[in-house]
Parts: sequence; structure tokens; C-alpha cells
Amino acid sequence: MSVQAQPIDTPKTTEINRKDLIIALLFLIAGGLILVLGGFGTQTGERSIFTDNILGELFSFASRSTLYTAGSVCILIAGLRLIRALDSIKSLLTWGAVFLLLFGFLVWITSGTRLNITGMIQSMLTAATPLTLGALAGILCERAGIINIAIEGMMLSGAFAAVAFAGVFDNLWMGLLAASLVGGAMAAVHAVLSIKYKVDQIISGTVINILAAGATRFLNLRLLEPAGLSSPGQLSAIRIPLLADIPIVGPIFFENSPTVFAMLILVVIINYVVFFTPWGLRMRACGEHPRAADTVGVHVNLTRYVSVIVGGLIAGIGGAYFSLDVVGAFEDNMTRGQGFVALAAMIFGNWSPIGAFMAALLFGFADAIQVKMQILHPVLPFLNVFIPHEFLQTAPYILTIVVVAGVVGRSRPPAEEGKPYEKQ
Amino acid sequence: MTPIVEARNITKRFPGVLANDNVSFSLNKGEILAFLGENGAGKSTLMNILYGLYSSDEGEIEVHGKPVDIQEPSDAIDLGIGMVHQHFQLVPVFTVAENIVMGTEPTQFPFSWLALGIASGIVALLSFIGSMVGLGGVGQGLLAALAGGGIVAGFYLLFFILGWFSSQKAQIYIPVISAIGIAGGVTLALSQGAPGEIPLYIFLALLFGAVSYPTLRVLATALDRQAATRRIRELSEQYGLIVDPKAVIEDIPVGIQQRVEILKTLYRKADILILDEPTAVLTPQETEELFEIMQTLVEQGKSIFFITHKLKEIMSFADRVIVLRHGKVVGETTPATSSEEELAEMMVGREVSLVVEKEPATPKEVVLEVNRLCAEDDRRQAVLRDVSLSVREGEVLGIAGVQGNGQTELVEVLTGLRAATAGAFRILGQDMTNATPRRITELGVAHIPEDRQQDGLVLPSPVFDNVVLNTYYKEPFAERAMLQFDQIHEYADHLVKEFDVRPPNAELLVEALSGGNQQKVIVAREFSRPIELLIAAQPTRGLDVGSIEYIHRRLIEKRDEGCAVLLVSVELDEIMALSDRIAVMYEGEITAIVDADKVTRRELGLLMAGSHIEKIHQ
Repeated sequence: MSVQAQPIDTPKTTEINRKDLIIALLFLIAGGLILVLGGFGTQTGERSIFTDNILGELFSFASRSTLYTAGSVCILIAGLRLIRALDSIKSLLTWGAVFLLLFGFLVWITSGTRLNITGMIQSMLTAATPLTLGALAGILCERAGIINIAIEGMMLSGAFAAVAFAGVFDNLWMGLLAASLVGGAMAAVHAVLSIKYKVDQIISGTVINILAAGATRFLNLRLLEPAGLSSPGQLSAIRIPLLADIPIVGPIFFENSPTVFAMLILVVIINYVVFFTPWGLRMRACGEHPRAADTVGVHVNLTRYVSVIVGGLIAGIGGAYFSLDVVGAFEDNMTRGQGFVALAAMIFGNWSPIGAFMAALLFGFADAIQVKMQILHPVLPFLNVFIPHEFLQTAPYILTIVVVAGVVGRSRPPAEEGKPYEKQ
Repeated sequence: MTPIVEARNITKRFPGVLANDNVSFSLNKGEILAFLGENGAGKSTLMNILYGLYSSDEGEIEVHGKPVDIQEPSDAIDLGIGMVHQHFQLVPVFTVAENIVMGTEPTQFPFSWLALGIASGIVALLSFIGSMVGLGGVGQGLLAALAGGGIVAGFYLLFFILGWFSSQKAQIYIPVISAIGIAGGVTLALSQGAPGEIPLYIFLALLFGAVSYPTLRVLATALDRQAATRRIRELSEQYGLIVDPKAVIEDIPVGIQQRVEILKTLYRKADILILDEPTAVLTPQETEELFEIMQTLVEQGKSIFFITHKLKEIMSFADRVIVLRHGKVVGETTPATSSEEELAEMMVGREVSLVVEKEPATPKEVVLEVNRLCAEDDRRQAVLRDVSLSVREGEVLGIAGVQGNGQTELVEVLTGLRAATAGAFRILGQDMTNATPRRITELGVAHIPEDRQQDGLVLPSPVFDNVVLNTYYKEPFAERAMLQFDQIHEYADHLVKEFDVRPPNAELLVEALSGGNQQKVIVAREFSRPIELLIAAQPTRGLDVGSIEYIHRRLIEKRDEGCAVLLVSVELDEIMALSDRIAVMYEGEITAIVDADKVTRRELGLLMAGSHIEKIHQ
């Protein structure tokens, strides 16, 4: 692999490649859709009003003209893509178009009514929390070369341990700590199976998921419920003095539950560790070309153990979110596949912590908006039907398939992922 | 003068093989010592022992006159030994600088006044706003701003102190931090009037002490990319190894990648360099550049071990040469007092002919006709561009080129394994563009694939299965839906004898055979049915001189029987020895097609590097 010769330069033609073409077409269609929504889905003179709990009315847009503008700009960006203009700020334009689409959609569903935008962003962030924590676990694991489909299992056992130990110690914080440690312990099992015993990593991960589902159910029925420990209560939000008083920014960033804070801090730290420290460099080398790392004295398997286990510690915190944050009790299979959505966020974010966080926010947006849609019931023009909110629930999965299929962006997993490393 | 490296009686056994048998050698300062031997003679094993990748079963090594025990590559690095591996050990998606410094990175405390200023500034501003909203009053607001900014700065200072502290020994850090934690915890518990919680706090303090140590070690050391770039630039200039530290490895040519490998050893202050078959992947021009670089290194006081099986390189370059065969030293000589023929004989153990004997070709009808063929690689980049050529009955068309210039893809398209995006090719007059591999095979096309283990054989299957992989569904090997094992076994036994596969047992799994014998299994399968066109890609890669001779003879035999042969090889010598006509591929195009007897090595080398034929003749 390392002995490839000079890659062949792409010829500099005005020819547009397939990927660009598809993106441009997608934007074109989406832009057109927004124009249609504007023209037929809104009434003349209707306004979309975005509000905040404290400040009251924040923005008021004239729905129809706003949608017309957003749609046209989208089509303009698609056009620029097609004629390959402004190529240097291509990705900026792409993100701009994505933002406009989301914004347009939001304006349309609030047309003629009000939307609490701060609350909306808050619930986006909350929904993104377990996804981001799970994705961080996956990133640590996979960047070091071990496939991790066991995030779900690690989170579920974390969720259980949080409740169990919070009950035993009568202290929610101990629950959080225990969740993390148990997540780490599950990860250690995965690490030993896949590094020491070289079990296929998909199988090892599946085993962990099944084990977690079965064991937590059993222990919950036999131990927690009889002992009356299965609902220790919820973690209360932490309010940072002064900062939490700031309008809009305050409630979003400075008044949150401990898991949300943990998530925000960990995104920054893990991103720094992975890309800016010697340890991160070596760890990524273990996932890309372990032999190269070995020849310069990096202990490949030790690095992999550490990465997987630290990932498990983080996934455990993600698990505590479900039991201690949302419900305040343990329920069977309460992670409900969010561990796999976290995996999707990881892939969507191209194995980078910041990227995964962005992806999780996007998924969180889909989640938050479908809750709103259950209240607002927007009616599709022409068809005269409500958009079923279940449709939006599938959005994360559809987006991920699109990304993994390589239609938008470039998603590139670590090269040696899934292969056990053996010294010669 | 004491030699810089002295090894005595090195013996290394692998299960069933004696890789090194009582080998002794020494290297003097400023010398280029070549190890010559066939594949499997034990050259690489010997060097891997010196570099700590293997440990020897017997024998001792002295470096700078002192006995040493090399267990790990890091031991070798500490002794100033650096190795450039045959397969480069570079991470393709990392930059040059990252690859060079990995393992011994320059670091810095993650500190920047700017970052600190911005962070505390933002928090101060936010605190001010928050205070104004909550309480009102500019005075209060300013006080809050001061407090907010101060807290951020305070956290940073704490991190700095702990970070510095964690760079001390763990035996000091962990007890001290744990003790502070325990003291704090006990005080807290007592002040809350809950002495029952003391054990819990002690546990937490110990946990924090133990966990925060490695965490801080990681967090408090950031990569210093600027220092890395600076150091690499210095080394580049000192040794004339020009590289761009910020380039990504997968984007740069092999010759430059090799420079990166050499820089990697120099960055680790190596003064003894091991180069394991460094010229295998280079063009003749790149090889010459490498030799110049080696000369510079030697002039600056480095000493070099140089492994090769190419005789020409030794004659033009080494100061001294040690010849290995079957793990033993069979001779030591200097190029000045020896000849290529003599070295070849020492290496193989018998007389070998270095030239392939063949009659002039008598080409007849065109068998393969390729017309403006285009294709894309796996990343959807154009990799074949308007390739046109033709191969006639009874001639060998050689395709020369540096690896990765589209030869692999050309062979794949011609054998039906990759789709052509434009253009067409005909075999025996029939259009076979994008036909299935089976249709092409049944037309009488034989294929010796480039990667014999990946594409040529089913390794965990026995020889008898492998020799019928392309005919198993036909009579006499199959009748209706049933395989006829008797027929298959009989056929396989016959082929094993005819093609001299060793050991001569068709029941053996292919993965148990040596590379040369694996290749013989492929040749046996492909040659033992009526064929009109033979496509051979790197047919002798990784084989020893004996096997190479055998394969070459077989290829020429096929040609003389009237078969059309398309030979793809990155070994220029092989192309020149076998071909009747030579096509040169560069960046997916055929840049020249010349008669083999009207071209020189040098001209081919220039063509392979992208020059045009008109320029060369000027």
C-alpha cells in the first residue's frame, strides 16, 4: 500500500463530476420545494414568529417572502455548483445551503404561529447529548483500529449501573461515576476479546450488545425492583451563576444537566487529544498503519486497549443520560437503539469529534422538530395531508445512508480498522 | 579501528526453517556494506534482528565496541540504528512531518496568551452581560466580569501547575495529589458532620490521583508542529533530502516517500542505516538519486547496510559485499575484485545464465487489439487514458512503467475484472469490452495475476482445487452438477509432475507452498489448456533466481508455440530480456511503443519517468 507511485492528477477540465452533480441537483430540488412551500403552503400576510422565554418575540418573518428568498438562494448555490463558480468556498456554500433548507423548513412549519426557538435549540442539544457521547466512544475506539458496534451495549449497561449505584449509595453523582466505570468495564471485555483473542470485532460487539440487554433486564427484575432501587430520581440541572442569566445563550449553554456539560467539555477535549497531541497522533497511526507505529516504538495493542476503555467510560456517561437525566429510573432496553444512531453520527462526522457533534445536532434537530410537528400539524400543499412526524424520525437514518453511500462529502474510515494487530 | 557494528554467530530459527545459521559480519564507519542473496536467503531476517523486530536465538552483537541486547526497535533507535523497510512504514493519510516525528514528537505545553486572553475575555464579557441582566448596575457588572475572567485564568493556571507536576515521576505525583484529595475529602466530610462518608472520599481521592496522572500527561503535552517542520527542514538541507514537510504521504511519489523514510531515521539521530531492498520500487533515475543521497550520507559519517538481490547495484555501489545463501554466509568480497557472474553463482550456488536465450520473434496475426481504452480506479479517478496497442501471435509485448501508472488496471480491464469507461478491445477479432471474465477465459486467454496470493489462488485450498479453478465446470472435471474428483486428482498429479511443483503433492494446501511453487501452480493451471493470449502481470515478483529462470523459459516457450504474450513488469531487466516490443506506460497513457532491440536502458528509464521519445532523441 505504501508503495503506490505518483497518483495521477485529475485533469483540470470544466467537466463536472458525478458527486458535485448530485449535490447540485439535491439543492436544486430542495430549493424548488421551498419555493413551492412558500407559494402554496403559506397564506399571504402570514408571519413566522420566533420567540424566547424571557425576551418574548425575537424575530418575525413574513413567511412567504422569506421562503421565496431562501429557496432562490438555494437554487443560486446549486447553480454556482453546476457552473463550478466560487469553487474555493465550496464547502462553506454547501453548509450555507443546508442551513437555508433547515431554516426554510422551520419558517414554513411556524408560518402563522409562534415557535420558542431557545427551547427548540435546548431540546436539540439535549437530544444530541447521548448521540455525541456515544459517537465519541466510537471515535476513540475506531481511530485506534477497533470497530465498535457495542456502543449501544455500553450505554445500556451504563444506564443500568447509574440507577443501581445511585440507589445503593443514595447519591446520584455516584451513579454517574458508576455508569462511566461499568461502561469502561464492558469496553474492556470488548477490548480483550478483539485484541487479545482476536475475535471478529463485529461479533464481539454484538455479543456485548446482547449481554448488556439480557443482563440489565435480568438484574433489574431480580435485584433492583425487589430492593426498590429502580427509581433513584433525576439529576438536577446545574446553573452557572451569572452566565445562566444571559438571554438565549444562558439557558442554552449555562443551565444544563451534568451529562450535557460533560458532553460539551468532552467534545472539545477529545478533539484536542485526537488531533493535537502526540498520543492522538500515535493512536490514529494504530488505526491507519499499526506496523508503521510499531516500528517507531509505539505499543500498538496497549494504545488500543486504552482507547477502547476510555471510549467505554464516555459511553457509560451517555448511558447515565437515559436513566438519570430523562427518566430518573431504569427501564428495559431504555437506550432504544440510540447507540447505533451514535455510530451513524460518528460516520456522518467523518470520525472527528467536532464533526460527530455537528451530525448529532442535526439528528437532534430532526428529533426536536418532529416533536413540534406533532403540535403544529403543518399541512402539505396540494396533497392536503399532514406530514406524519414518524417520517422525520427516519431522517437521521436516511441522511446516514446518503453519507455512507458517498453521495455527499467524503467519509473515510481508518484503513486498518477491524484487523487485529500481530507482531511478526 | 574497531568496527561500528560487529555481529558474531547469529542464529535464528523459525518453525521448520533455519533462517540464519551462524552468521558473522562487521561494518566499518563510513562504509556501504551490501548483503546479497535470493529471497529467503535470510538477509531481511538478519537486519530485522539488528533492528530488534526479531530476537536471535544465538549470537551476540556489539555496537561501537560495546555488547548490546536489542529487544525492541526502540532499543535499536537508542543505539543509533535506523531502518528503511522494504515496504515503507508510512501512514498514508498523515503528513510527511507527522510520519517523521511520530514516536519522538517535539512537544510544548498547550499554552498561548492569545487563547487565554480570548477565553477569559469572552467569559468576562458574558459575566458582565449576565450580571447586568440579573442584578443591574455597571459596578456589579464589572466586578462580575473580573470574577469570570479571573476564574478562567485560574483554571488555566491550575492546569498548568498540574500539567507541570504530571511531567514528574508518577511515584511523586500520585501520592501527593491523592493526599491532598484525601485531606480535602476528610475535611469536607467532617464539616458536613458525616464521618461515615470518609471512606468514600478516600476512594474518590485515590481514584482521582491515579486517573489524573496519565490524563494530564496526555493533555499537557501538545504536538509542536512548527518545531517539527523546522527540524525537518534543517535535516533536509544538511543531507540534500528535499521534501515538503506538509505534504500528505499518499500524494507524493515513491521516491520521495523513501526520502521520508530516510529522514525518519536521521531525525532519530541514527548513524547506522539499514536499507532493505531500497531500489525495488524506484525508477532507474530515482535509483541514481538514491545512490547520490547515500553518498552524501556516507560523507557525513553515516554507515550503511544495503540489502539487495540486484547485481548491477552492488557492482556500481557497495564498498564490500557479503553473500548469503540458505541463511549462511557463503562469501565476502568487494565489487572491484569480483564480477556479476561470480556473484550470481555465489548467490544461487550454481551457474546461472543471466540472459534469456530466445530466437527472434516471428509475429503473425493480431490477437489482442486495444483501441482508445479508458478506465477509472477505485477512487473514480481516470487511470487509463486512451490506451491503444496490439499484440500479435508469437510475440511478447512488454509494458514497462513505474508501479501505479495504470498497468494493474489495464490488465484488470483486459481480463474482465474492471469496467472500461470508454474505448474497446478485441481478442481474436471478437469485441470483448466489458465481457465477463469467464467469456474471456474461454476464448483462450490465460492470466497470471500481479498479486498471486490475492487474485491467483485460493490459499487455504489444496493444489488440486486450484489447478481446475477455471475449468472445473467442464468435462471431464464435471458431469452435470457433480465434480469428478478422480479426474481432478489425476489431472492435478500429472500437472504437479510436469511443472515440477515442490513438494510434488497435489493434496497440499497452496498456502503451505513457497512463493515460487505457488507461481508454478498458477502457471500449470493457465498453460495446460489451449490458449491464444497470455497476460502475465509481474510474473516473477518476489521469486528467486531459479524460479525466475523457469518462468522466463516457460513464457518464451509459449511465445514460440504461437501464443501472443502481454507482459507487464516493473522490473526493467525482465522487460528488456523477454520483450520483442516494449510499450511504456506513464500516468495511464502509453507514451511510447518501441522495438526492444532499438532502445537502451537509459532511454526506457527516461520514458518511464514521463519524458517524450522525441526529447530523448534530440
